[in-house]
Amino acid sequence: MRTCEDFEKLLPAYVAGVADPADVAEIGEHIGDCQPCMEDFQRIVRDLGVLKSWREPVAPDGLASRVLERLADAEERRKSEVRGAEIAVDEPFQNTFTVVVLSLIAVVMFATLVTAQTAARREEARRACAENLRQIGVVAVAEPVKRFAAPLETSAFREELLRAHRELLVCPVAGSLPPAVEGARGPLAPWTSYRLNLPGPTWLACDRAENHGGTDANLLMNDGTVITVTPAQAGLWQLLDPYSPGR
Amino acid sequence: MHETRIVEGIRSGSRAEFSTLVERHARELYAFAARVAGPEEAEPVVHEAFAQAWNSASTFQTDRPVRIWLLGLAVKAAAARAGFDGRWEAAARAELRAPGQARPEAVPSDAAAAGRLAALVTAELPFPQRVVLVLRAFSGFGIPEMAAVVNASGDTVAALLAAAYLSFVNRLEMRAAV
Repeated sequence: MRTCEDFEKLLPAYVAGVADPADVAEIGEHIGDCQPCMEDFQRIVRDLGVLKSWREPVAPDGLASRVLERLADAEERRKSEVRGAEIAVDEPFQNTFTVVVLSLIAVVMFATLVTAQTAARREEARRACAENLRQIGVVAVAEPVKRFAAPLETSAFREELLRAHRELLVCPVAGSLPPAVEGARGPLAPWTSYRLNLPGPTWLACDRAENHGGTDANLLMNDGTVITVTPAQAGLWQLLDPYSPGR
Repeated sequence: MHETRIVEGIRSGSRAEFSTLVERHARELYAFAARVAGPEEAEPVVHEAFAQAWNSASTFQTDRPVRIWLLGLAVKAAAARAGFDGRWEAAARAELRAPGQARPEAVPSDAAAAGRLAALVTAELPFPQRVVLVLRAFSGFGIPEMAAVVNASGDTVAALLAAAYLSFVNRLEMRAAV
C-alpha cells in the first residue's frame, strides 16, 4: 500500500508523462482522492508553467554568416597545417639523409686517414727492416706466388711446389738483384713477380714440417742463394715481418 | 530541398548546401544552446556544432531528422564546455531529493520576471537534466526524439526528465522563497 510520500516521488514522472504505465492509473486515482497530493500535483504543473515565460533567446545578427566565415577560416588553417605537417614530415627524412651522408663521409675519411697512417707506419717499418736485411747480405725477400691446394704428401704436390717456387713475388731490399733473378733489369718494384734461374730446386726445402702452411719467406742473398725462413726461426722471422705481404 | 539531400551535398563538400543548412537551423541551435549553456556560450556552441556537422557529415543517419542530428552535435559541444563526461545513464541514477513545500505565492506573476527565474533555475540544474528539460519544454520532443538527440536509452531520458522536473520545482521554490 503506497503512502502519500510514495506518490509525491512519482508525481514528477507523472507530470512529465514518463511514469511507469502500471503506475499511471493508480497515481491518477490517488490524486483524485487525496487533496494534499492533488495540491502537490497542481504545484508541480504550475511551477513548470514558469518555463513558458522564458522567451526564446534571439540569435544575434549575422550568426549564420559568422558560422560560415569561421568554417572557411578553419578549413584554411587545416590546409595550412596539412601543408606544414607535410613539410615537417619531409624535414626528418632530409635530416636523416644528411646525417647518413655525413656519417658515411666521416667514416670514409677516418678509414682513409687510418689506412694512410697504417701504410706510412708499415713503410717506415719496411725501410728499417730493409736496412737490417741489407746489412746481413739479403738483396730481396721472396714469397711463392701460388697457394697450394694439393696434399703435401703427394708427389704431384711436390712437383707443383717446385714449379711454383720458381715464380716468386720479390721485394727487393737492395738496389739490384743478382743475375739469378730473371727479368731483374731496370727499376725494381716491390712485390713484383720474377722468375728465378737457380740451379735446381734444392734451395726450396719445403715440406710439411718447414712450410708452416705456406707462410715461409725466402731471402735472396747477394750471392744468388736463397734462404728459406720459417716462423719457427723467431728472431729472423720477426726481422722479416714487414716484408711478408700476407702478414 | 529535402534536408537529407542537403546533408548528402555537404558530404560531397558542397559549401552551398552547408550554407543552406546553417541558414535553416542556426536560430534554433542558438536558442537551444543559450538555454542549455547560457547566452555567453551559445554562439561558440553553435560554431562547434556546425563545424562538426561539416567535418562529420558522414555520421548523419538518413533515417533521422537533420534537426535531431544538429541538436545532438550542439549537446556534445555544450557538454564539452560544461565538463559533462557523457555518462547519461549514470546521471539518471543520481539520487533525487523529495519535493519541497509549495510556496506558490512567491513565484512572480510578472511574465518577464518569471522567465528570468526559469532561466536562473534551469541554469542551476545538472547538465543532463538541463538538456532534457529544454528539449522537452522548448523543442517539443518526446522521449524517443530526446533519446536520439543525447544518444541514450529512452529509460535513461525518462528518468532524467522526471529528475529534471523535480529539481526544477524544488529549486524554483527555493529561489522564489528567498
